[in-house]
Amino acid sequence: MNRIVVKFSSVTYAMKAKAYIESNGGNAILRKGVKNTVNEGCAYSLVVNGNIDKILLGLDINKIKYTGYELLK
Amino acid sequence: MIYLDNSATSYPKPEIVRKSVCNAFDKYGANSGRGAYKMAVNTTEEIFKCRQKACSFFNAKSVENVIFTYNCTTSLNMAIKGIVKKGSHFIISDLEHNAVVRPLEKLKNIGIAEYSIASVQNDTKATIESFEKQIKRNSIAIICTGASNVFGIIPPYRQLSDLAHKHGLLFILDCAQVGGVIPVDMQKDGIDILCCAGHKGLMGPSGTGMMILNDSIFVESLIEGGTGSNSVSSIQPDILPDKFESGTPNVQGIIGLSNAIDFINQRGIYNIYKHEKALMKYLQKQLENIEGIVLYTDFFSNQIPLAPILSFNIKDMHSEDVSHILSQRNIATRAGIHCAPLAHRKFKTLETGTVRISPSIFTKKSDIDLLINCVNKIAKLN
Repeated sequence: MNRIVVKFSSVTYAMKAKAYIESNGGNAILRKGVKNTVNEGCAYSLVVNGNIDKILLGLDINKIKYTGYELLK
Repeated sequence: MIYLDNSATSYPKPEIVRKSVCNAFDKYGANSGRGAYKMAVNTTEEIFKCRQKACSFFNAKSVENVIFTYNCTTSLNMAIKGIVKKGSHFIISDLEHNAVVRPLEKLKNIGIAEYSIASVQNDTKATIESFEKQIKRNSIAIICTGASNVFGIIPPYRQLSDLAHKHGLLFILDCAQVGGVIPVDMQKDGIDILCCAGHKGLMGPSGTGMMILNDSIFVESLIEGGTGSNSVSSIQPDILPDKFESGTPNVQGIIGLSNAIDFINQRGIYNIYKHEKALMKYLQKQLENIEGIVLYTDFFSNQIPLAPILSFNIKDMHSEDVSHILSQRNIATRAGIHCAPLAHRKFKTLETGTVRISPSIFTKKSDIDLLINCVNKIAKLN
């Protein structure tokens, strides 16, 4: 079980991912402005607890575009 | 007041819509998709919920393909001007509203594009042939109304989308008069760009509309600016819906629209259609008994499907005069040309216009009875 930040270029994608994760029993918190997004300017991210591979695979299968992710310590 | 002008905008709005809009001013007063404080996130969530509901309502491919606009005219302008290239040719029906005709006429006048008008006829095959005849080498799209805003005529849009796709053209449907009244399915109906008002049949607040894209369509943005995404870049983001939603959205309106879609789903779109159609059938039957009434469509004929909109005239009277007298009796109707000169030209009513009756789910049979009574008196005095 990891705590990860998944980054999105648009709040709509972040919300779409949040809805997907929550519909699968997970929990996701919407945040703004995580590190490594400085060059892009405004962006949203989700803080998610779970299996990173499973979460990212789910997003890929559902064509929910994310721009990156990182593990939180 | 008896309100029979729902094709212009629906009134009254459902209680849930009115309450949700008022509530939104208190509870969701932040901007959407910008901040990350609690109220901003809650507001963003509400906007997203409406996007989800609209996506499901019209069976759009993806939630991000739902783009909020301010009305159907804005949506149509965004669609037309977003796909046009120099030398493009469009095909439209002879029932189109000025929301389609004027943007195209402007593009024509500045030498960007041209357009041809095809005829919607009683026979589907003849209609399709009429559209097919207008297709040229440089044609890029067929634009068609879901239903005439004057006569209620529903063109065979599913077959027209097949025709468009057979020739590699886009199909744009103007859903101003059908959204919330007649089921529209973007996948089954083959719609590439759906343009809809939120404040008419969908029962949402004024200042709401949508442009919904099917996948893989390249549409240029019409307005650029702040989107709350990729802000360092001076280039407009290419992601949906941000590409088309620069500036602060109509948050309270969209939240009202979200509740309006719930209302339509709860009532059931077929029930709404059935109720309104039954009223128009009843109205037609009663009007047929009044001497001097001119009707243009027939709700009892199976020849061409009709949305619940009925136009009529009283012989030797201008429609505006009839509507004026009705308004003095507290009956709200719309007369004149209804921003649709093509449709009036087709029905030879350009000179007099017509009196248009458009009910809603809230219209009662007793409202129609009062209207009939007044029309009867006006016709007898004439």
